[in-house]
Amino acid sequence: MPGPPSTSPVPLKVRARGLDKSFGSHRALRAIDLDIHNGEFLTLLGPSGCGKTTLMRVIAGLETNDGGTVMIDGRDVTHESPRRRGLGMVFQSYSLFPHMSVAENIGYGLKVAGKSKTEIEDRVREMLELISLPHVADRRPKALSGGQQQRVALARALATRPSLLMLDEPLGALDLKLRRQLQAELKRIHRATGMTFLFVTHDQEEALFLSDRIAVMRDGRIEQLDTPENIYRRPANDYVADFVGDVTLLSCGISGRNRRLAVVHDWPNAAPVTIAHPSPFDRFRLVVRPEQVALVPPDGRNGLPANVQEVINEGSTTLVLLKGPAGNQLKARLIGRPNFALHRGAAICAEVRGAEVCLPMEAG
Amino acid sequence: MSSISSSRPMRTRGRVAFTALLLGAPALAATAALVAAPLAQMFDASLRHQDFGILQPGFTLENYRALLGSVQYAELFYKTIAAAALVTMLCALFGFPVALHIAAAGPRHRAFLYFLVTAPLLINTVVRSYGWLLMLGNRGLINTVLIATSITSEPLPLSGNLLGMVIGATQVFLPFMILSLTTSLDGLDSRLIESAGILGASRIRTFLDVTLPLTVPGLIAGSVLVFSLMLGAIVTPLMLGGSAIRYLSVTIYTDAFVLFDLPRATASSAILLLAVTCLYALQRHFIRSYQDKATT
Ligand SMILES: Nc1ncnc2c1ncn2[C@@H]1O[C@H](COP(=O)(O)OP(=O)(O)O)[C@@H](O)[C@H]1O
Ligand SMILES: [Mg+2]
Repeated sequence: MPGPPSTSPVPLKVRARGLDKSFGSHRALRAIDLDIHNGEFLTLLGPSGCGKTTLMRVIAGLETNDGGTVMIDGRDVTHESPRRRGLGMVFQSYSLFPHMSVAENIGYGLKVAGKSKTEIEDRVREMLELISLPHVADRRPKALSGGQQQRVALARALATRPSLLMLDEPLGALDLKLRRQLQAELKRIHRATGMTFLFVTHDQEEALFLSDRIAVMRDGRIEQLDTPENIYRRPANDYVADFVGDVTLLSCGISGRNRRLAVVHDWPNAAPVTIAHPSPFDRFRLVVRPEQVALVPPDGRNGLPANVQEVINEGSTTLVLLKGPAGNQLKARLIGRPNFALHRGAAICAEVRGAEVCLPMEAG
Repeated sequence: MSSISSSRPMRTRGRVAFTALLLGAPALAATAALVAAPLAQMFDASLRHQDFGILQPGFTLENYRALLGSVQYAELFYKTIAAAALVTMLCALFGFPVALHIAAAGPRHRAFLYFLVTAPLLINTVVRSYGWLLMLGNRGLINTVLIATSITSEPLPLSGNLLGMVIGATQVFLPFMILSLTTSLDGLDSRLIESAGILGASRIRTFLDVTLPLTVPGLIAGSVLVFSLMLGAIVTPLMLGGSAIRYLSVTIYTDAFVLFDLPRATASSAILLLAVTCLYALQRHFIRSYQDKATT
């Protein structure tokens, strides 16, 4: 759910304009514009080294930008130190103070702010309940498991009620099961606190699951900023399409009176594919997700004739790799098991249903 | 198959260790002999009577009894410890900002700073102490300027006393403290500093709450190093403090080379050695328990 539109009188939580940052000759950020709405869960998604951490650190003030401005709650903080920006931060490496107990860690921000002892104690207890670890207050961080340490780090960041919480791949060091569990917990805490979350990950599934909006980054730029659904179903370009989920790009030409029939190039005996919206291009590449491919027994009339190359069991779903007569590849993801023979080499017909995104030919 | 591949590294490691021991054996034996022999001689002399400059046969504890029973000696010992402690504290005080600066510097700048810190170690202590004498002496730079500008009429007593010794020794031993602190600061996760800052702590607060507690081992290691070097130092105390100064190493020097009272000099040395050894053991124990506390 995206926040209010930018015409709203409520100021944006973060308004970044033209952020530039170079390390030596390497440009880590290139003229980044980013708006973060109040209360939203925004994720920076991209491969390692694309500048996610740098962007977050510039917003936090831990890194000084070469150009551009950062506004938080309508206030220009470009030249302000991190401690005056009212933020919370959770690092991948937990970064708990090893010489303090869990309670002292969580209460540190409040202690620095000069809060009374009883107020700190109450808040620490509240935070420990929030992260479901009420009994670890007196332990040292190192006595806890990785997942527990990261929860404590989260509690420490939340304790001062920052207006914006930043999380830099906080679950990156945890195993898959724990990660899933903490993802759900993060979502719950986001909802419970109503804070604005700026989250960094290179895991597209995590981003899709958690976020209100996702900014997909490449080489210091934001390629697309949109809701998870739009990022997934209507990627702005090849890069986004490819990075977020499995995708096949089929070279097509347009046909039909309403420009909604795609003729697949270089695929002998292929029936035209119906697309959701009229294509703006004559020649284009159709974005096909594996879920949009249905398999039917070969009858020679519908869909794209193909042979099964590989059947991969993914638990609740089955991924089928297909090969067309001219060597084109296509992937199909099926829920459950089909009611016909599906083995390597089997002849099959692939029907593409609900494809809606056409990318221009020359884009790269 | 798997048993071979898993046992091989173990055996190789064992063989490497054995080879290393074999190669190192001569050096090890030489070092042991060169350390043990003088020490044995020192203890031997400290347990003898001396008549007309000649050590007599037969052991006695009289030398130790005389020293430990003497009020003057207790005062000397106390003053020595206090002076060494003062030098150590000044090194820590001046060393910390420098170490913080080095730890925060980029690689190029850092190499240069390292050079600046360690370069004085390449110069003989006698020369460095003489340099200080040129600064602090009665006709030294400082007093000349003070008198020329009529700020004082008489030269200030900046050398030939405790003050001169402390100033000189602090400069001489500062590099050891800086290097020890820098090593400790390098091991500090910068995210901890950043976390404290984001949680609202000022720079000073961050230093006191996070940096300092987590570099205590380095501070202690550096302090013990400076303290024991200072206890054993003779050149700087003698040159900048003068032979009249109440400082144990100077007294030992005078006993041995001016009064030729070898038993007293060696007994004093033995007591000093014991004190330093205890201190070193205490430091190891403290650092280990501190690290245990921080990591469990
Ligand atoms: N302190 C730094 N010094 C030099 N290069 C850096 C520094 N921080 C980041 N970089 C470089 O900037 C690029 C972006 O880094 P980063 O923002 O950490 O990427 P991400 O978080 O997306 O993996 C990388 O190529 C990285 O090597
Ligand atoms: Mg990163």
